[in-house]
Amino acid sequence: MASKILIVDDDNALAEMVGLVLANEGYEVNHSADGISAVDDFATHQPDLVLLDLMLPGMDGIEVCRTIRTQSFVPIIMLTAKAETNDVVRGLESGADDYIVKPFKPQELVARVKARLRPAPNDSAAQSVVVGDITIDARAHTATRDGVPLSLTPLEFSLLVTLASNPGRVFTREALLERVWGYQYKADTRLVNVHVQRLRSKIEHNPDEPQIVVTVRGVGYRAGGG
Amino acid sequence: MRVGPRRWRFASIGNLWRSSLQVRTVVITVLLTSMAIAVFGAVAALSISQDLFSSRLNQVLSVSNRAIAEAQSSLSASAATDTASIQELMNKVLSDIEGTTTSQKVALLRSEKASFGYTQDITSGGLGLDDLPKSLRAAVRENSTGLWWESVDIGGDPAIIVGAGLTVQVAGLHEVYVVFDLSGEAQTLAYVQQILYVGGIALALLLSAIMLGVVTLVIRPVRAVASTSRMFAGGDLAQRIDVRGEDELAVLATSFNQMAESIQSQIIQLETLSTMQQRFVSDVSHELRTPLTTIRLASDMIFDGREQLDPSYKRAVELLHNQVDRFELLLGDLLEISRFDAGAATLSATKFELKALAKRIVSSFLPLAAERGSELTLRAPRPKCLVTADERRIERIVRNLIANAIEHGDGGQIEVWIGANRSAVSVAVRDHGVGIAAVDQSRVFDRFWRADSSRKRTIGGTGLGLSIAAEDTLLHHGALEVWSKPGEGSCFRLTIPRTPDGQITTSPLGLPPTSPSPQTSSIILPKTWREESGHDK
Repeated sequence: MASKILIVDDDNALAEMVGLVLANEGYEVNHSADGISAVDDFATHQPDLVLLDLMLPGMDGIEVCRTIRTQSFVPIIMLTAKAETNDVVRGLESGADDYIVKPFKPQELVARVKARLRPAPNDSAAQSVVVGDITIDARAHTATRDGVPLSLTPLEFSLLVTLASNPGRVFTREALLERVWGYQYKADTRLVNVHVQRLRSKIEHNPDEPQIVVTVRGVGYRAGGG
Repeated sequence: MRVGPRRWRFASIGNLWRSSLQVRTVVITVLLTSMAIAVFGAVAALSISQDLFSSRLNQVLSVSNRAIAEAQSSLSASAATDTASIQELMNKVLSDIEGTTTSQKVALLRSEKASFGYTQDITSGGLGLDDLPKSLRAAVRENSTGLWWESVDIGGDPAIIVGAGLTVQVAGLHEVYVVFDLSGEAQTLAYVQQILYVGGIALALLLSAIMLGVVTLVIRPVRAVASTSRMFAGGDLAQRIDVRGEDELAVLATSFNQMAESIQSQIIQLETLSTMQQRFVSDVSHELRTPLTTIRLASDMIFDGREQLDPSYKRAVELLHNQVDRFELLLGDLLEISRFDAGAATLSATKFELKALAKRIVSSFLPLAAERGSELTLRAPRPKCLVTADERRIERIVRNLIANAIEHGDGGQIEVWIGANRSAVSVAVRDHGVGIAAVDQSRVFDRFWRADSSRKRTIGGTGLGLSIAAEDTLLHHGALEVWSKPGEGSCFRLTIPRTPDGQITTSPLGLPPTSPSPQTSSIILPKTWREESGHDK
């Protein structure tokens, strides 16, 4: 069955063109032209992935992203014209998994979409991994603490599994971009920073003094002993 | 020899004189009033002393006149004829004169015309004949009537000697001299002079103090105006002067404030205009991005299917595809420039090794250089060149310089030099192409400037590359310099401090760099990735 993608952009020409590109790749595409209808359309179509423009009439992209995140963990990719602004960080903090800067090439768009729709990498042979007081079941895609499931997005889950499967190994931000996001080339390391923060806020007892995802100054991150 | 502090003190006094209106005014006033007081004091002292003398002289003359008249009348009335009684008479006359004049020093002398043998010279109070001035004696001898006086100095004390002739019965003509002491007057004069001195100095000090006070009072608002205008000139456009009262200084302050107001509003207007301009460029660039994305997606889609098109459509879509790329580059550069103009560009500095970066960049340019027939070599010193800078921006600068060198190098040798010293690191890119005319060298960093407008762009730069490189350099507090000689090629040298807040003392590379310097010991030939180490041995 074809994956469903919701495009939220007030520029109809761009939305249609993106739709054409994605339809050529075999995806089923829906379009919302503003933020408020995007939330409705999300409920109606139940897409597998959302392409979200940050600047929208009515309800802005950040708001839309937050609203969707309260209901669902589907991958969200932001479309933005301003890569250098705080909008990107705000968008990532509000729950987006990735972002693409306009103007982008069709191949780039397709690659990002595919990377997000691909099941999270499961390079660990072990069925379950324990990090700190968290038990991760890689097959069932669940992480639990004392039997209570933690609500993680697929991306956060993938980030946690990658770190926890290699205890003690330090991952650079670039390595994490490659393994978790599927980037083969240099990308924005802010992605890693923001998602590590989000992950910590969900799994750490005290996010200001992380025990599970530990920062290695000047290098990157590793899984802590808990 | 240490002359510094002394010279410094002189310099500082001179400086104070030049820079402080207050010091100058007070010093000039004090000097002039002191001079005026001194002149006044001298005139006063002189006129007082003359006055004292002349009043004493009048008194002396009138007393003398009376005493001598009395003496003459008692001499004339005497009937004495023998020596003893005449001498006795003379002694009495002397003591009478002493009584009348209250003088201690009186002399009664025989004249040349006196009859011999009746009288002897008599003096009182230790008065010696040498004390009597000859000129006075001569005057008395020649004129037997009338009073004669002279101002003298007896034993260090000022005095007046009055002389006259006396006719003694039988004994003939005699001379009488009375000495009037002036030491009392001298004391008075000394006392008056002392008062004049003390008073004069006190007056001068008082005047100085008043002057200082007045000048301070006047200078304070002037100082306020001066410091406010200095701050205003320094860029603090909100500075205004407090206006008090309605005097000339208030008028000055008011008009200064009006001037400041108008300057500030003009500058704000210009700034707003400039900000609007920058915002406009930035907004346009952003607004263009969405349609450009659509065009790009569409063109790429058609481009991917170009094999199914007629040859002319196929060529058209190829051109479209290429130009969309170019348009995107141009838009990107335009946005970058607008970011610099808006002051929004920030340095994200990390520590990295410059040689590794240069190696990576140079090797990525090797195919393009080879296509143009240029040999591209990297010359770097053996030790590591660690630098804390924005790697993305440094890479962009170096890429731009190398791309330019290949574009304008006419297929000649191109050298990329790396240099480092304690304070700075440097990258220089040298080509051996046509070079840039001297008049054009200052314009190479201008936006959209072309050395030769008829020359076609082959690599497809946007015309903003060197402008962006210059802005990136500025952000690092570095220097991007150009050297060129027509026919010999050009060299662009980037020098940045080792750390963003560091200072460059000298650039580690020459402009253009000359080989082989002792620092540039190894030559890396990226073509074969063979590191030569022969040059330093």
